[in-house]
Amino acid sequence: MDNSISMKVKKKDINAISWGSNAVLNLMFVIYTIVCLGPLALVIAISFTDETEIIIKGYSFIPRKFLVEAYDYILKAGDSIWRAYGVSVFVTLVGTAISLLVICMYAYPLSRQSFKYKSFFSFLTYFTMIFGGGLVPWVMVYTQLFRIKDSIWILIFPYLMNAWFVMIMRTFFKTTVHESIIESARIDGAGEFRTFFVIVLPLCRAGLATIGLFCTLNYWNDWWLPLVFVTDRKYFNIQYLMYQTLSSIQFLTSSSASFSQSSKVLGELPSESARMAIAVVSIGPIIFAYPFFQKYFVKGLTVGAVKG
Amino acid sequence: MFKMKRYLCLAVVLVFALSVMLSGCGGSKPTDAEKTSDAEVSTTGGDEESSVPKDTVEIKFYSVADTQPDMQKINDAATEYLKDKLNVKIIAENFGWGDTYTPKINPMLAAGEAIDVVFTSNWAANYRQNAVAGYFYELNGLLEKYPKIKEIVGADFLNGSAINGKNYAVPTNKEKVHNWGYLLKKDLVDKYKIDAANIKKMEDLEPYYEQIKANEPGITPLLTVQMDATWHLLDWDNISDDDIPGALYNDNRDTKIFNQFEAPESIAMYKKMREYYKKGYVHPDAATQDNVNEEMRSGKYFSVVQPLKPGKAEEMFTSTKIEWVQVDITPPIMSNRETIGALLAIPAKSKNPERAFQFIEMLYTDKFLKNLFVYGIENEHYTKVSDNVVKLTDNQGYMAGNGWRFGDQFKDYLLDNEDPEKWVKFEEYNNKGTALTSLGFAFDSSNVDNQASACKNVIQTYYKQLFCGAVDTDATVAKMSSELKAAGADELIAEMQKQYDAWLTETGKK
Amino acid sequence: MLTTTKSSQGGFVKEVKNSWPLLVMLFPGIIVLLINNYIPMLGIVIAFKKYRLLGNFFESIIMSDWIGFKNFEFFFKTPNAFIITRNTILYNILFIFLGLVIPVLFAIALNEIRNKMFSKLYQSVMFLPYFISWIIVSYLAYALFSIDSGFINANILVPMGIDKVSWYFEPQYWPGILTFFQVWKYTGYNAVVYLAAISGIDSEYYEAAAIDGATRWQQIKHITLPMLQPIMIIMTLLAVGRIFNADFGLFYNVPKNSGALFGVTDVIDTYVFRALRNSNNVGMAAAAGCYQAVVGCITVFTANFIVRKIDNDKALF
Repeated sequence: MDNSISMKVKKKDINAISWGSNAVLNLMFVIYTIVCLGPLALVIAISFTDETEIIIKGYSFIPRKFLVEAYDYILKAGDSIWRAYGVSVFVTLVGTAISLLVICMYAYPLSRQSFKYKSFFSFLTYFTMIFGGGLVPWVMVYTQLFRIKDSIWILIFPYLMNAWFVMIMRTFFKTTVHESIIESARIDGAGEFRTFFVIVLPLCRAGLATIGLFCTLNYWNDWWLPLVFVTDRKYFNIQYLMYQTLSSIQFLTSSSASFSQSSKVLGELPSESARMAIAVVSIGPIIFAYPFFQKYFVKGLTVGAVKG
Repeated sequence: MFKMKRYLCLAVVLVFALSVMLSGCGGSKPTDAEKTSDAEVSTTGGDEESSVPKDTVEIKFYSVADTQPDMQKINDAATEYLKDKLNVKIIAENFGWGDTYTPKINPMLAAGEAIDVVFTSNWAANYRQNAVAGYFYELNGLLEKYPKIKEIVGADFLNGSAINGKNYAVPTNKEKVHNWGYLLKKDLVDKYKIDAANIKKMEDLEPYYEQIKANEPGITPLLTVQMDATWHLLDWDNISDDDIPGALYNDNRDTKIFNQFEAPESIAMYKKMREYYKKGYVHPDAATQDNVNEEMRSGKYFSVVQPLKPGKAEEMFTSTKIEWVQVDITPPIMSNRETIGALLAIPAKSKNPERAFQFIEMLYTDKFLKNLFVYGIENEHYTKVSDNVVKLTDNQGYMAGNGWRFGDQFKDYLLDNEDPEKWVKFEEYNNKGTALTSLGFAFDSSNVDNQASACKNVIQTYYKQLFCGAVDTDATVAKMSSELKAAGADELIAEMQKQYDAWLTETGKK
Repeated sequence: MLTTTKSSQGGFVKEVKNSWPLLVMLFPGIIVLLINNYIPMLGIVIAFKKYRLLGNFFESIIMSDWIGFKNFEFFFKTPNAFIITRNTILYNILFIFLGLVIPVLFAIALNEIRNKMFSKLYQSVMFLPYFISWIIVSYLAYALFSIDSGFINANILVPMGIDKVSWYFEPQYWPGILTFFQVWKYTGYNAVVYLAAISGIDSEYYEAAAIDGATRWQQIKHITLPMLQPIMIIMTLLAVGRIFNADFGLFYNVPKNSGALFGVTDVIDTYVFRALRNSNNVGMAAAAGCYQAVVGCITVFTANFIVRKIDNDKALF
């Protein structure tokens, strides 16, 4: 082998798989990548396909005619989609922020060696992971005792705590912030709150990003809360809108004058492709959020879940 | 382990303590409110009828139909209109047909939400089970106090929807008999020169199915979605809901209740559908579709089985904007199906049952209000051709239609394409129907609740694919039968028979 | 016992004085847990009652007639109890197994690939499905499997001269399809977790092994895998603890509620939901839910007990 000749080759290169195996692995990943992207590509392709073509030829990856009719349609149908979109964005941003705060404030005391009741409060969260009272009592509590049905808060509140996230965060605090740091902060005269917000949290950016991403996904992809709690369409989110659209596309038709005067029969609307177009539009923001979190994500998981 | 147990005990104690506290403060208020509203019913007499109540209250009115984009406009208009009449703020909403409506409404009822008016029936939102479970407000008192509904609907018809003499809901005043048949897409009927009068049974359509299948790409000859299937041409006299076993023949031949899903006629129907499915007369994805209106609107189907009445085809134009031709197949029958086919109930936890009832009453008496919920707003969703005839505009913001869902359908405007004599024909049609022996019998499922819901689960599992012919008939029926047995179908039917026999003796029909 | 209570009470006051800021921090979380989880837990009583709406939440629960195990009796008499339990457990076992083997393999492979830029790219793409909601996954599945116009039927089978397959009526395909989408959605995420663990392994181990003449394969076998073992155990045990809880989104949305498939797609969670939806039978739904909660609880405690035996620090509680 030639690397025995050159002593300059990095250690890393010596200790690596052969180029042949490397090619095999790469091939495997290329195939898997296609499997991952395939179904998504299909949805995107359908959103650009002509309605009659779907009826005759079925769904396919390559539209014979490339049409933006479906997007045009959802742009014009507008109101309900953009409103739902706004609800989703608001709930995701606000929900993630509050949720992060609640989770971190709950996880932090549990990470402290000196806190005597940490195992009790840990148990309090874990127990919710495994035992529940069922759907009807849960619905009743929100609709009868706390009466926040049909408001934006019902889309936020139930997901504020999550035992699994608390656990990751607790471990993250435990491993990142040593008691000695907290001790020295105390000696400097900082109170618990000050220590937590000024010293501990900034140290745990990666953990925050990780949990933040989870919360974002939780809120953005939720269709269950609107299904159960929301009757007022002001608070439908984008996922629930898609759930409804599955059975009736008419929900999207708007009465805005320009639209209705196109005098289209509903049967001629691009219902199949419009559904897929909404799906594409709804994936958008979450994909863009990914790079923002990615920077910290692996580290967050390493410390939070792995060492935990 | 010990430590854990201690924590568990602590947690339980804490939860109980807190919940008792919460129930202490949360519990007293609603009961007080209930008491006062009860008191209102009994004390305030006729003098209030003329004066407008001072406090504005919300009336939440949930009904079946596709969600309409312009619902808010309708609500505003209704609120405005009722301001100096009932002084209520209307919050009406539709949650889609069948499969989306029921799952939305049922948990709300079970959780005791403060809804004021809901649509219920034997095919959506489980009228009988929900009534027996105490989810609906008992209306007998209000029906006495506000007698107009009784006058309009008729005492007999009203009693037909009662359970053990108690009215939990009021039926729509509409046709009082039913028959089944097809709606055919008009443009295709014209194109293939089909003489609707010559079609007497389902086989008569087969040659046309064959032609359409061959010549019309993109058109499926027969639409079947869930219960909207050729199965209904058998017209079983169902004792309970449509998807609960237990039925009689529709010709008064005997009083023996049996499982209609396993009857030879049904099995023959499944087989016929299997044949259609294989020939491609039925959409391959039929068993996973769940909205018949949506499919009808799409214009991709030639025929569909529907409950008929005079002018059904024209009526369907409102919600589909497609022209249909009506073909009657089964004879007109007067059965329990009509009395509990479309009802409005007041959920038990309504804060203002009396005001809600007054609102319901207005749907029977007030032409403007009724038509607002059916056709929308004048000059926006429809224009008036004459006093009682309207024309729909191109605006698709509100096309709920289906005036049979609530109130007095005879108050509805007629569409310009409808027969001006529609309501007269309704009366004639009502007189034509044969009354079934079982008319007026209301099955009380409370003793066999679990059997009924278990059987319902089984039927829900199998009926869609059997009705559209997507699966092999014999094997599926065998599986369904054995599961029904395990679910207690025999006990259920025995209980039905027991109650029915007792009722027959009681009413002297035996 | 008495003395310990006394002393701990004294300690309690002192402890609260000392750590009140920490208790304040816990407060919002406790409120959420109480409202969202603990108060509804009282509803478990409904499973033993003939539920009637008799007033507010507590009144309805307390005042409904007590019928003992009738709801359970009925639930277990139907074949459903067996089918949904079997489905829930078998799917979860399969998911746990695949969720372990495939991501570990992928993580190791990703770590071995020479070109780090490609490795990063694969990672990002693999992670993508994790972002997709089950609603959209059900759209994807329909686009592939729709009997009439689905990609597989219309553009693969028919051009090849094979008859269309009625995907939504033929149960034999669905264990495969559901597993595919589950793996599709979660593999990327799990692989990143394991990759993170691998990147935490000190590179000196490998260098030393290389100097000793170990091949790359031997290094994986003797260094990487053993170092991954703890996290593999933890992840698996966590999943085992949730073996009675199925992913509702997957089992409810993807098979499009097709009755023909219930034999292989119905799990406890979907059954409970349908029992409520179809007949509003709160008692029976509660019984099924209670059964799930209790058996699930036992599994978790057992799993936790085992973890405690292996490594006290890693126990959940």
